[in-house]
Amino acid sequence: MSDVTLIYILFGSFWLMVLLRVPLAFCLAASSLLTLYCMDKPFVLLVERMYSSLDYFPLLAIPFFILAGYLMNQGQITDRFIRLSEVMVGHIKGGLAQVNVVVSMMFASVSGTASADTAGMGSMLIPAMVKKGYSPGFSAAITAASSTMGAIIPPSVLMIVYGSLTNLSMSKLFMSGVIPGMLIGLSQMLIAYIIARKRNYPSERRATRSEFASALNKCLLPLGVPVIIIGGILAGIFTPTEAGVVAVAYAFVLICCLRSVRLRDMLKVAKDAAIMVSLPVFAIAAAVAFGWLVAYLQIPEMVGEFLSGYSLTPVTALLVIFGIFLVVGCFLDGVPAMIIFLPIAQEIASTVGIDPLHMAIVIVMTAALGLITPPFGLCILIAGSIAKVSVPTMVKESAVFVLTFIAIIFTIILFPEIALFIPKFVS
Amino acid sequence: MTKALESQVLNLCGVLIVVMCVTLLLELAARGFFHHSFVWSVELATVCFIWIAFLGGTAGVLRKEHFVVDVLSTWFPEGHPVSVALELLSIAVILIIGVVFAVYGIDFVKSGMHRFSFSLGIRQGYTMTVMPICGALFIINSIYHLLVLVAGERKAA
Repeated sequence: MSDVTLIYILFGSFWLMVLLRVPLAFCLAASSLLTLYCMDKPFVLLVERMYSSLDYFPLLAIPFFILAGYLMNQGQITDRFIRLSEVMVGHIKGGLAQVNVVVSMMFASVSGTASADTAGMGSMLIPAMVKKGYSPGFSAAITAASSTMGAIIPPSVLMIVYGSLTNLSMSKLFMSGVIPGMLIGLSQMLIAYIIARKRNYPSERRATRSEFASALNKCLLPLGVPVIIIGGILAGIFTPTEAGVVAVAYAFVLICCLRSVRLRDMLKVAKDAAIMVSLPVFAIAAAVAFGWLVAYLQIPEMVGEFLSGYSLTPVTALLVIFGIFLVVGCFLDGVPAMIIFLPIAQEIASTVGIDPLHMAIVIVMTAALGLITPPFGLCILIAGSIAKVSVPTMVKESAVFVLTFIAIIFTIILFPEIALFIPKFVS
Repeated sequence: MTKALESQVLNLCGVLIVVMCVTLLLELAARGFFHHSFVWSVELATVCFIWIAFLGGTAGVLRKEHFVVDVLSTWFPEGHPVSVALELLSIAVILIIGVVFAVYGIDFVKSGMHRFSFSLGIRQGYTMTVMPICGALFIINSIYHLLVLVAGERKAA
């Protein structure tokens, strides 16, 4: 069989199974298996690739940051963040929607994953918002959209994986995510304000100074997490993976001191966390096997060769890369998408000479956008299930956030200095 | 029986999560305070991670928690013949992957028995046994779902 036929089999069987509701991780594994069969290669290769893909220390950052976020949620530390956000921005029009965005910014600096944010914040804020008269669709949409900052504001698991795949400086990657993350947060606050005025959503009472001081005081210890993590990584005290385990330990000590989780409940917490950790990681293992076939069939080279016929500029090349990850992000989680399609992006980048850090932030942001794009937007699915809102309603309510997100990515493609200013300034 | 098996698998995963965290914390503390490094810590944590991912993945199958892209549920709600057929397809795919993991996983383990891990010093085959175990659990869980589906259909009929 020719390579082109094998590529059709690999991608065709994958998309077909995705549409036929087969779990994503198994779509990746089964399409790889079918392609191996057509190539007359031994099936043990699938087993070997999936096992060895996880035999890679930097990937341990993923379970650690998921675990840290999960512990924070279980330990009611997120309640403190919510209270602090409430006294900070609750008085603005659409108070709880504003709180939702600000608390996600805080949580993003503690946990590197978006799904933990959606699940944790959503279960508390969505019912509270609905009770205050916000529509369930809007409440779920803003919860999902604001969670995406978890994948952009450091420490970000997507960035850690990206850094480990490309050997880019982790500290530069982290720093390049700060301004884009803030921009997304501010844009969401603005959207929430406009929608709140239009739909006449309420605002909260302005907090007194003593209330603010009390809320801030209760958040001082939890807010120590980003200082330790980012400070430790930038100072070279520990690696991003080790920073993850420090975050877990800190969160554990914190919830023990606050007595928000009893020690005898810890095994249940660990068991629940194991499921939360294993689902995305198992999908990553399958994605690596799939990605290995993509490389084996020389798909990146083919794409590079195809695009070399067009005179691409760095901007148009980045738009092509954005387009690839936007489409893929509709069906795949960020990390598997990066594992499979990053070699293609690198091939395109090498032909036109794109700044690797600029490309990194565009890809990470597009992967984060995939969390709120249908049909497989993990955050809209989680938030929708909490709010008991149908997927079409979620898509309709999220559209404005998706379009604004795209506009910000375009702005960063056109004006890279927005993202690269901090890393350049520091170095 | 399947639920009891799932509970044991998750208990093991819970313990492995604790071991993974404690190992790396020990390493960090030893390096930071005593300028001593445990060479085995990274390898042990990575092995725990691999086992958690694959064993947890089997529990995810039983609980039907693996991520799916659901674009067809609007047209074919639960109980619709097409929906049942799609579920059967999912079960079949998981079963096939389970069989591959179980059968070829044994070959994989055998190949690992000739190699020794870098720092733990044990045969790599021992750590690789998670693959056939995972395959066997996929098979058990998918057969369980198949039986539940058949029983449900009979009841509906």
